Amino acid sequence: MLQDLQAYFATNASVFFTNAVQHVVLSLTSIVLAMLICVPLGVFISRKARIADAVINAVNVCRVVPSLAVLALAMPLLGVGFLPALLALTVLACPPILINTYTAFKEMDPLIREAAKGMGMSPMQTIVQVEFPLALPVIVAGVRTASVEIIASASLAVLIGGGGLGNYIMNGIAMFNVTFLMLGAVPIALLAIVSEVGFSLLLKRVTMYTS
Amino acid sequence: MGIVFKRVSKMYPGAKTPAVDGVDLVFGEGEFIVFLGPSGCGKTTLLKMVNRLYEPTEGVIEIDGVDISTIKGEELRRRIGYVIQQNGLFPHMRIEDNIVVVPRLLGWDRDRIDKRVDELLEMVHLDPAIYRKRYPRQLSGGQQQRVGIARAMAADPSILLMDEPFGAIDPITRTSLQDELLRIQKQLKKTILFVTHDVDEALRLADRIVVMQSGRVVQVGTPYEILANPANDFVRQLVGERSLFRRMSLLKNRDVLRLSGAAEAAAAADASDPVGLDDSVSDTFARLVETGKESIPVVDERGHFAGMIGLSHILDSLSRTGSERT
Repeated sequence: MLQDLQAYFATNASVFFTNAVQHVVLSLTSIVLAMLICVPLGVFISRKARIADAVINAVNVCRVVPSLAVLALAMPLLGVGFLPALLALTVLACPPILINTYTAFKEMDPLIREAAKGMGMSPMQTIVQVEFPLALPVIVAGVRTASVEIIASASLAVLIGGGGLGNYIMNGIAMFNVTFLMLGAVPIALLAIVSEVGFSLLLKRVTMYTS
Repeated sequence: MGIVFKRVSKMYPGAKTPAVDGVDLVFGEGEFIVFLGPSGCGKTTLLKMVNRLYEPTEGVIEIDGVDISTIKGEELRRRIGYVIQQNGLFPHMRIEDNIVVVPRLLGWDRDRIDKRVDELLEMVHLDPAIYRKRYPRQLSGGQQQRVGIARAMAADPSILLMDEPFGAIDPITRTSLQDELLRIQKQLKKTILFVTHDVDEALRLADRIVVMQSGRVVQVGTPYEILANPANDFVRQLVGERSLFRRMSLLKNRDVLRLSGAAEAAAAADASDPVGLDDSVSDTFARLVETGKESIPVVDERGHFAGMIGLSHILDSLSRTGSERT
């Protein structure tokens, strides 16, 4: 099998590289997009008790929809290709980030907020200088959960023409080719592990003040 | 000048009775004012209206003659020091960053801020070399509150608001923090508004005490006035417990000599072991009881004989300054 792998790389290294990059770009972009949408949204709804419940309930309902179904739903709505896959993955990344952001801001010690206001901070300064740094560990935990989910789900992007390392897995299954299966599965597993380790280091950094 | 409350009322939405009800008060510059009363009496609400964390429903609050409702809330709050119960420090910021939150908001330059951190830590007796880089969690409750006081003083405000700052701190540490605060107050002449439900704390700290009940001011006076002449049964009950001893601890030997005419007494043969003019009478009382002597000599700061105090002089002074009714 090792020889098969060597043979593949000898001629198709650039194909593998393209697939791997696509996988990473797909995962990373969707996570970043989800963060850009959900962190501000989470902060916003933490201040609006009325709509918060509705939003959180809706998100929880969406959460039970399997990733394959979300990708499948993207196809009739958005067509095929990189962009529909990206949007579908973004939708999948949203719930943990949104819920964690919302919870972190909602559970903030009101005394801290009052202290910030009492010092003369504006609402925006309070969010940026005090609330956000304190909420960060919980938000990072949400992004960490989302990342692992997205790295795994991105393997399915190939089904709607989104590319990525899922190519190898689908082909490997179709052709019953163990080499292809390995070419997909091992890098995906490695990506997930790297993401986990990276986030646990980051988490340690942002919670430094608690030790 | 100073702080003036004009018919200030605060009605919370949905409440049946006002939290603060038509309060009129005038405080001078540099006064240490303590608001005393049971929880729910409106003292905290009153305090938080001074830096516009709450807005009065009626009435006007003026600082140095300016109606504070005409000053932008954030701007006003940066000019007024604010200390709350512990946990008020920002846990994710190092001590140095916590302390200079307000100077940073005011846009001070880096050198000035850096110098200020050391000054402030030294003022509250925390070694900058040790504490600057620590996080609040690494400090004891008492140390955290020292930092809280330093933070409130950072931009050198003339007014300090303190909302039960020592409420959650053990009695011994609390006493040393109170001493510290009195020292700083004496040194820097800040106007301090301090909220507490602890009678002993109020008696120890205040130049004047404002006793509150159900949103109204029941009595305003010096600690001794409040103890000696409580305005009504509520105040008497509030301060009544061990009131005699409390009054003695607030009375100075100087007052006893003046009130009882003991100053005229001739020096006794035994003039050893004297007490000072500005020492508290409770110490003199204890000395009389312990030694069994009839009277104790009092000397001034230079050691010159000032008079003799005996038990009868103390009792006489206490009865002259108010009737003991409990």
